[in-house]
Amino acid sequence: MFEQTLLKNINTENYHQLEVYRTGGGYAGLRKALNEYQPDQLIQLVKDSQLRGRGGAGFSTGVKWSFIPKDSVLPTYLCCNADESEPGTFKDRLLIEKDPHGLIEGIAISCYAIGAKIAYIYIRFEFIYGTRILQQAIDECYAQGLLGKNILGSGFDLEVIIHRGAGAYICGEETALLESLEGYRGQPRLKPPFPAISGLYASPTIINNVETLACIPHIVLRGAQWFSDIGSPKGPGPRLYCLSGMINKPGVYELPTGIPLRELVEEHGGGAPNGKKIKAVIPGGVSAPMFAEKDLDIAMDFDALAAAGSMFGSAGVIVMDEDSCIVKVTLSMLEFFHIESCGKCTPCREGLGWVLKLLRRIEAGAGKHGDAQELDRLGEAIFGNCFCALGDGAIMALRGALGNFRDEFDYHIAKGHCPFKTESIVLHRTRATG
Amino acid sequence: MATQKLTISLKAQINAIIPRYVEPRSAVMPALHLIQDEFGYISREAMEEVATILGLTPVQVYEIASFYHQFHTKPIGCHHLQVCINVSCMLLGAENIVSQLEQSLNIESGQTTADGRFTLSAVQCLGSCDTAPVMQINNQAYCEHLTGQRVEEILQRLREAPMGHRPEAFAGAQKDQREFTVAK
Amino acid sequence: MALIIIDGVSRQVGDDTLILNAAAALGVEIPTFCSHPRLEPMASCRMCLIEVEGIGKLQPACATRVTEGMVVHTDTAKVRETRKSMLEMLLANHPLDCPVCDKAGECDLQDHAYEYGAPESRYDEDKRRFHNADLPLNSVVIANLNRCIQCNLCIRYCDEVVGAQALGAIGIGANQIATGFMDSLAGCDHCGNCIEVCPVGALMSRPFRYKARPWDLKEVDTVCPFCGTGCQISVGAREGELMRVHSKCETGLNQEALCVRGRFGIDFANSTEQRLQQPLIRQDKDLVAVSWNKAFGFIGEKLKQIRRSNKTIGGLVSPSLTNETLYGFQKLMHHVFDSNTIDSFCRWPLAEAYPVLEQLIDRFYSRKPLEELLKVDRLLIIGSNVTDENPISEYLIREAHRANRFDMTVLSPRPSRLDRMASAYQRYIPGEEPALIASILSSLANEDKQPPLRSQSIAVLVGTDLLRSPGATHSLQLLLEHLKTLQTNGRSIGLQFLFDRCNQLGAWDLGVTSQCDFNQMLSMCDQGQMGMLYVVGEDPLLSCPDPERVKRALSQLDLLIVQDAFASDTMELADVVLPGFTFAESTGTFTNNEGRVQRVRPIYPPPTKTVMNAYKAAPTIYPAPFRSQAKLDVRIFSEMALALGTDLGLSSLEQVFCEMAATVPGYAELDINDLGNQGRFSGATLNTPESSVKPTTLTNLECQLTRQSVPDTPDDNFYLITGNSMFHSGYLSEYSPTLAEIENEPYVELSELDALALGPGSADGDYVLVSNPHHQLTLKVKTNSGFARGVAFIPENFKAAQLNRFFAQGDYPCLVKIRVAQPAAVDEAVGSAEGNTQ
Ligand SMILES: Cc1cc2nc3c(=O)[nH]c(=O)nc-3n(C[C@H](O)[C@H](O)[C@H](O)COP(=O)(O)O)c2cc1C
Ligand code: SF4
Ligand code: FES
Repeated sequence: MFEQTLLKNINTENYHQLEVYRTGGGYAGLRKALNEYQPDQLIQLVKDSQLRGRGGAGFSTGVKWSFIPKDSVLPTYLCCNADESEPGTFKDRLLIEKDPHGLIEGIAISCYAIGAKIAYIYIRFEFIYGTRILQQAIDECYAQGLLGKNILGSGFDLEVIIHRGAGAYICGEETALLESLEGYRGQPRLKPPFPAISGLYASPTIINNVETLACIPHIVLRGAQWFSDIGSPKGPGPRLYCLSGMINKPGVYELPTGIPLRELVEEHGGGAPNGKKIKAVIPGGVSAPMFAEKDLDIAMDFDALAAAGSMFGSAGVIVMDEDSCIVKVTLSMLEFFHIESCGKCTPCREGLGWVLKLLRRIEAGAGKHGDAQELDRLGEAIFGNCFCALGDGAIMALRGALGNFRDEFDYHIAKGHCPFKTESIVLHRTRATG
Repeated sequence: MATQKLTISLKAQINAIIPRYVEPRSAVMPALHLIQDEFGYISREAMEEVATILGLTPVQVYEIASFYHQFHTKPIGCHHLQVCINVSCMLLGAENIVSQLEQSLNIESGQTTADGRFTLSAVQCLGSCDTAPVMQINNQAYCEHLTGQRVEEILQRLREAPMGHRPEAFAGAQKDQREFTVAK
Repeated sequence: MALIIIDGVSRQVGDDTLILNAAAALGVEIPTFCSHPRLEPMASCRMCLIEVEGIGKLQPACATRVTEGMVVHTDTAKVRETRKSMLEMLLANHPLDCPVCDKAGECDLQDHAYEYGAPESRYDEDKRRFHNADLPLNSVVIANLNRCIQCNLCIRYCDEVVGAQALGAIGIGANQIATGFMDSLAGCDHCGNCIEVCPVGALMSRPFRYKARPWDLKEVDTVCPFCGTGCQISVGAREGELMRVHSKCETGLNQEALCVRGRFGIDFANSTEQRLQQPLIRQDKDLVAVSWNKAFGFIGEKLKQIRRSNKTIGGLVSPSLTNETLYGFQKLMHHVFDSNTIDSFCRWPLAEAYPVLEQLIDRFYSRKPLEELLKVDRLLIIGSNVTDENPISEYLIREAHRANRFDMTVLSPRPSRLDRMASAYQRYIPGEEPALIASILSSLANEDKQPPLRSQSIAVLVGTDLLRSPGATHSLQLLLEHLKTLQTNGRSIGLQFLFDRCNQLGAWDLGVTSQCDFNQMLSMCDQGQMGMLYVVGEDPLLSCPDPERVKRALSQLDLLIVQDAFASDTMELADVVLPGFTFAESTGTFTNNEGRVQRVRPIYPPPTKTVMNAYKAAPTIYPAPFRSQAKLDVRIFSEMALALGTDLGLSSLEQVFCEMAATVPGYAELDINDLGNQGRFSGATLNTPESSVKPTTLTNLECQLTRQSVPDTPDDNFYLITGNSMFHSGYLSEYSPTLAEIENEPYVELSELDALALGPGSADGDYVLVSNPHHQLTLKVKTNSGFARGVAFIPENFKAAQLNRFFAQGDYPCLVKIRVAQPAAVDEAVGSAEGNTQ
């Protein structure tokens, strides 16, 4: 039986309080890191653990840290990406609300490793409660000498500052996050230079996801080997899977990487409700193309998923049952991408709008012959030509649906209605603007 | 529309944020949050004042206020009902929730009731897909596992709640500290 | 250097060259929308995507830099297909209202769609619409945002080049638009550069709107006549009427950028109302129209009397006139009037300073592009609000600063946008310059003498505020001495002036200066020693301090000749008035602040067209049949000389220029027909031998720069300073209908705190009374947090304000009192001179 690490104490009462967290052995990792490791050794440790980022791209955390120039005259920053907005993902929020000190400890160790004296936590605006909990935890740390000057008598100083977003998915993209933090519109920046070289205020900057950072204290305490022995060899460790949609037991599950998707949704998640059959599963947030039921034996592993044309992403697993209309799901996803497009580049801004209009008419029963091919063609025009991964992600999502369930699109177009008799409510609801 | 002269205390709060960052400009989002918390939305005068404080031009503040979905540059209803309609919520019936609210309030999503009490928005994923369908009221706590009946109860309570541009935290919908479904 | 191959052709290009530029060098065109040579790459339109071998995804040529051995393909099926797709997507929401669009004919979207696009669109959904009627953003910019393709060029240009940061992207995603704060640009620079860089018809020029199609315009390349920066402009005219002004990327130092005066102010040339049409002579107190011959005869008669009385003859000529005019005037004065008493400006009593100036210019003036001058470690700017006085120079300074990261020190009585980039800036009261100069330059000299020096190369830019300051001579002297010292210490020194008149350097190069400045000429008048004064293009009664005194002095003259294109105040006193051409009709050359000699060409064939036009515009003023008798200034000189019995030998422009080039040392190499579209640089005027100055000890002159406040003004008085505002320059600009609309009344600018201290009714836009014993004005308040306390500024260009009345001779800055205006006064006299001195 897999031993829980990240969620071990998540249901311990008042675990968000420093006292309780410390009783459970909290901040031992930080103490150990400060006492026993040089920053370089920590970077090596994280490299050895083979930890890969949990935010979406799955880049090796240790390698990313090692890009920080050693001789820079500019200060180094850490930005914790707590913007969690990928549909189907709600793990970071859990960590923030229930185990804020685990995150703060991870941040402190990481800052020590990369030589940062200031860490910003970019947290999504809607997490009002989480922000409050996190701020309380930070305040407690300052009061107890776990943040601020000369932490635990080690001579290491660190400020942790919460910066709240204001409702923009794109600000989860690391360079857009930096723009937003600097006080600009959250639009992605040109790369290179990469943030590790020139990021926040043109200084070397590391951006890591909440879950990624939360792994760090455990790696320090239990060693790289322990971590890399868990799950898939090429992307090991425990991982927080978010199960939602048409599933019996939705929630956050901590399990090793590499477990088969089928086991995840059928055994852990209990399959679809009301004895229905599962039709499709999105494995890693809506940007990750969906799998049809027949393909669920795939391992939840960075490389395997990528090889199968999808991705591990944020491990947000969304389940659709046999009654779910894929056209409607696709429309919902594209509405999302279109609304959240930052508007910087042509293919995403204009192209997704076009795709959306086609999908709306197909879903509303007004599709025209050739619309599916038109979607293919637009996908071709957009994919790979966008400035950042948002636009490409939208097309991946579209392709996942079109590729696996083309017959559903064809049915809508040919018959002018949905095969699943879902009431055809036109979905594009609007947000109050202005 | 009432004018939004920033009070001395609000200006002081904004000035206190500036040192957290390397450049004063970075304080623009926190400043706008403070203003919106105070007034319910961000007016023209407020943007001009923030610009002066941070050494920006007014349009640079307007750019920020208009880019982010959660900043409002026009007044909105005192209870802002934001129903998630993204995939997971949609699969579990978010559309019905929106339609029910539209009928109950006699407005379309994106609109505000004539009395200024309610604004209804369909929003993207709120990060609570395991408790779908969800809505957030006024950037307070989430209302989870929505059903037709729960929606009616919530509306009833809000209709009885006092009006004002800064309604009290809406406690009825959810305990502050929520239970996650965390499985073994 | 890196060896790269583009479309099969290999070439060495500099490291880090953008693929776009490398391709252009090979003659390969890559279409773009969001790229601009003066802006940081944004790579958002994706039109320039090309294939780079070894990289899976297409790469933006506008933002990707070459690496050794890179192989690029710009013409593969994939690239062509992608271009087609990008265009198709851009056109999906573009209104396609080309037939009624001002940009048609010079629209990048139209051009690229023609060249690279698909023949038809597959998009058959509704198009996005932000608004129905076009949106006027201010008096010169009007927007049709439905046409916007979100390249953000306008926003980026306004930020990176202009520095105004007045435009922003409002909204997110497909709903974002480029506009000003609350859809208004009322407070912006009005420079219209955003219009120029807009690749489509989203931002348009209001004055030009629906007036003409670009292809119907006849364009003339000439030089802007306002400040000394000397931007090249292309004036589009149709049927003898000016339609619009813009500038081409490949011409001049400004490379397409123009300020509000250059882009919108040249329409003063269309103004006919105050134009002088005929020679006038004074007969029994009145000026009556006469023929040229009669006027010359009149002058000849008077001249005989003056010669008999042995009185002096003096000349005053505007530094806004061409080199040819200035040269001709000098020749006329020497050969016909036997006079050496000439000055080129009446605002600065500089006679004493001329010898110093001459040395300073000979020794240090860097006749090269400002951009080159600014390749330094340190820049010192003295006495100029560059933002308002020389906007395009300011753009270049901003860009050079971004590129070279030099240390910049700005000393100026007024704040400017350069302050926020400066390492140090200092407000001062005119008169304090010598101490500041000494302090800064000596601290530079005393900087660690061991190489590497922090300030190895130093550039100095001297503004007009310094020249009009009471301590000008002393300041220039100190500047000269200190620069010599620094040079002897092994620093490389470059210097240029930032003049507010377009040909001031030309005037000095040509020697339109003498031991006797205009102020001294006035004194000679007072003493009855001056017989005749010939004033060309200047209006001393309006621009010299103490106009009553000027009037008294000029009335002593036996003969006052005033030659101008427009009616002036000084004409009231003139015995002879001669009608000249405006800039728009003139031909010749200007020498700009950089020493660049550039070609001025007539925009219209005058004067018939102007007059014809005048019939249409104001039939009551010019009864038909009437022909303006105005002439090119040099021709007037030449004909006058002939009438008085001397042949100046100045019959053609080429002839004038050749003769001038032969006499003026630094101009010898120049050929008027070969000035090119960048102008040519004049050389140093004299060769001063390497001097043997010893480094002087300067420590005793140091003063602390940390001083925060200005010296207390006596009894709540303000120091009044004057100069150019951003929207006007000299009196000519007031004739521009567009500029007059943008800024139509004078104002008084002061610090926020001072305004606050004046009590209620003194906020921005309120009216206050500015007064001293000589004059008083009711003026609108403009507050500016960058102003020093106790200093007030009023722009000098508004004729009606008669600003010169405030000043006594030699009294600059002068003291004034400011108080909140009574409502009655506001209604009555908005911004104009009130009954004054009693
Ligand atoms: C459109 C877009 C949205 C993203 N949203 C998030 C997010 O909400 N949270 C997150 O941690 N990473 C997000 N990412 C990934 C980040 O860019 C970045 O890769 C990540 O924060 C790096 O942290 P990690 O290495 O720890 O995963 C997003 C990426 C894109 C392209
Ligand atoms: S792909 Fe979309 S989100 Fe990314 S830069 Fe382009 S417009 Fe913005
Ligand atoms: S010109 Fe390269 S992306 Fe626009």
